[in-house]
Amino acid sequence: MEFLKRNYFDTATQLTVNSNTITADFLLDPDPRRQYVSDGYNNDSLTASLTITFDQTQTVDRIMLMSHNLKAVNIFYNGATANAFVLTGVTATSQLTSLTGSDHYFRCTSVACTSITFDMKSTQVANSEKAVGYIFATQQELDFDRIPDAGGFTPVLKPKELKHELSTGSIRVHTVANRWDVKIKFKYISTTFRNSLKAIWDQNDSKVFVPFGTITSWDGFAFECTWNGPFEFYKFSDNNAGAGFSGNIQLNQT
Amino acid sequence: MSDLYSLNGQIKNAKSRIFRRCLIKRRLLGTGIYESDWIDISEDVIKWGSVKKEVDASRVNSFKFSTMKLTFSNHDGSYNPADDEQSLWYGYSSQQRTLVRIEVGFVKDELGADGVWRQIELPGQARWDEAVWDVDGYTWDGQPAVYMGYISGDINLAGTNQLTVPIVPLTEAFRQFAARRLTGYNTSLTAYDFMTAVLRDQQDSSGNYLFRPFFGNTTTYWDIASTTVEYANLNTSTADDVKDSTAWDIVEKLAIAENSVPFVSADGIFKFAARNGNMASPTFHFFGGTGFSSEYGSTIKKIGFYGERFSKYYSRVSVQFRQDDTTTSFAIRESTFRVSGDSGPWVYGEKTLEVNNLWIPTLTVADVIAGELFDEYSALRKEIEITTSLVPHLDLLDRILVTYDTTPPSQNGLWDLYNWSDAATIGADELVWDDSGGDAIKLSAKEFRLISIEVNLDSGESKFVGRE
Repeated sequence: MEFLKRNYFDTATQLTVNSNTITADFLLDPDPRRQYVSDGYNNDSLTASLTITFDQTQTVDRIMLMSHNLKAVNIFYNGATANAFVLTGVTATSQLTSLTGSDHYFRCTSVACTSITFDMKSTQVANSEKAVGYIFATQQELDFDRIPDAGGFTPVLKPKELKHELSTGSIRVHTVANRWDVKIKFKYISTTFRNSLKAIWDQNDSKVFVPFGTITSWDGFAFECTWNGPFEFYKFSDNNAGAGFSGNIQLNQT
Repeated sequence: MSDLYSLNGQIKNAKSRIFRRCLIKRRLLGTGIYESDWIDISEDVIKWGSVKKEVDASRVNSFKFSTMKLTFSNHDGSYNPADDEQSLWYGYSSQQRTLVRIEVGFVKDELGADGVWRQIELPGQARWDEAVWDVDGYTWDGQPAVYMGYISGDINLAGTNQLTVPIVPLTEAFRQFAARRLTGYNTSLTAYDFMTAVLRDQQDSSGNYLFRPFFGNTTTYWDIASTTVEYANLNTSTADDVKDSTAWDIVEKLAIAENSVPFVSADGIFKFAARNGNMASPTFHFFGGTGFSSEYGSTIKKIGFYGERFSKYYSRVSVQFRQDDTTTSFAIRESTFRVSGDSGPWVYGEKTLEVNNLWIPTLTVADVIAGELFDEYSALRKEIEITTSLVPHLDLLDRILVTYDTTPPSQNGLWDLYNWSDAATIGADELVWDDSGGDAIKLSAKEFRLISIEVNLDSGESKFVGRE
């Protein structure tokens, strides 16, 4: 369970694509159904390229590709194809050739760079247009000391709904968007972890929250959020100064 | 399963996804002309409010187009004045008169086997080629805009990181322009000439169009019905009827003189059209109560009112077209007054609709106007106000049908008519229950012409007023 820095990729002007520029904005839309889709690259012999150029040098150790259909993709930094990221947890680099599934979370050895390029080479259904719904490029800020117990972790995907009750009594619902709402409850956390959480809270900035990021079989559960409400972890657990601290975290997707 | 890729399919769908968009066009600092592309600022909208437009809804010859107030999040200073580097307008002209386009509609998503999500927006896109499958007046023709306007008014920063932006309808471009500044007046101007040669083609000294930029910057956004009556009063910019008027005052007067309505369509087309409706046949059928349609579903939430609009009944129409207070200055049409069950003045009392418009050139023209108004308002017509779930594609003067039935099966009889009535008149396939009495509303494909449309963008609710 991690807090990451806000996404370094946050404006369409950072993005260069070699086709279908008009859908490039969709890479910043949290709705995974709105994807960047290449145009004219529905052939596995053609590479669709997507480059994010940062305003300044950034340290990257987390990359997420979400709602995509890619099989082979080469991810590299500073414009040189040889500059692959070294993935951690597996023996591999970011020259990926046989992806399955639509969401991938890559931990990598941190690299200070000014750009990241995604050379999208082939798709899981051969010879399709290359599609990506969302990209995160960022850096870990806090790896939780431990994860909360199941009762202390309440993730809810909340829809913004406009509800109508018709003259027949039936209900019609128009959904505008869905956003994550996560409550985390901890007891008995250490002073060190309390202080780390406080450092995050003190920043008053949005963060990326990834509860269970895994390189394989990842469910795509990650979102940019704000930590709303008070900081509660100065309360002693069980009314005992030696037992650790208790409190709640309220995260809302931006 | 219905076709969820059609607008009707989405309107009736029990659960659907909608979009609301706010788009702007700023003006370039040097040239003052509008930028070419719309900028999407929907993500910053906190409160949308509602939009409303009406013709003849509150009274005859009343043309109202609502203002709108959008509340934006200004946490990053995007809506600060143009001289602030954080502002969206930095490097552009003032925030005032920035064009605003509001769109609302449905989105149908589908994940293809190739891993690519495809979205179809309705109205605006159809699954099939429109040129092949579309028919005139069918709802696939629609587009998602429901309001066009521009920013005009005070934009006040507060310490809340929120601000409210006032937006006025495009017709204000005419209201904010003095008629005496227009060129092109002459003694043989028709209403059509005024709308086109004078307004549409009006230029400044450098050849820049004055009004076109508000209306798509092209002549195709001016849909003006042809007229023939010439208005000698519009002979010069210093004429009495011009010098103290705004361009919109003249448009309104011409509309009354021509018995027409001026309005801006949902997608920003300036129209000067006859009152008798946009389509020859109805474009949408509303169902409510126990009325049901597998094509349109049930959309009515409630009926605000339904009944004869006595306030718009007139047994007599008097059109004054000359200043002199003599009988020759008036064209009058009136119902015969007699004691009879079918005599309007006797049954409803005598009411006179007075139209005073000295631009009408002759008695013949005045008489035609009086005749048309008399035909419209001497009969007691019904009007209906319905509140519905989101129905985004209808426009003023569109024709609609309403089916609404609140009658439950008879409260008195326990059995259906087939079993208990004469078998000679009721067929074996008819299981007909007695109608209930009371004040229940019962409408069966009743046709109306829309004279008022309101869309609440915060609740996704539509409200329509239709007139028989």
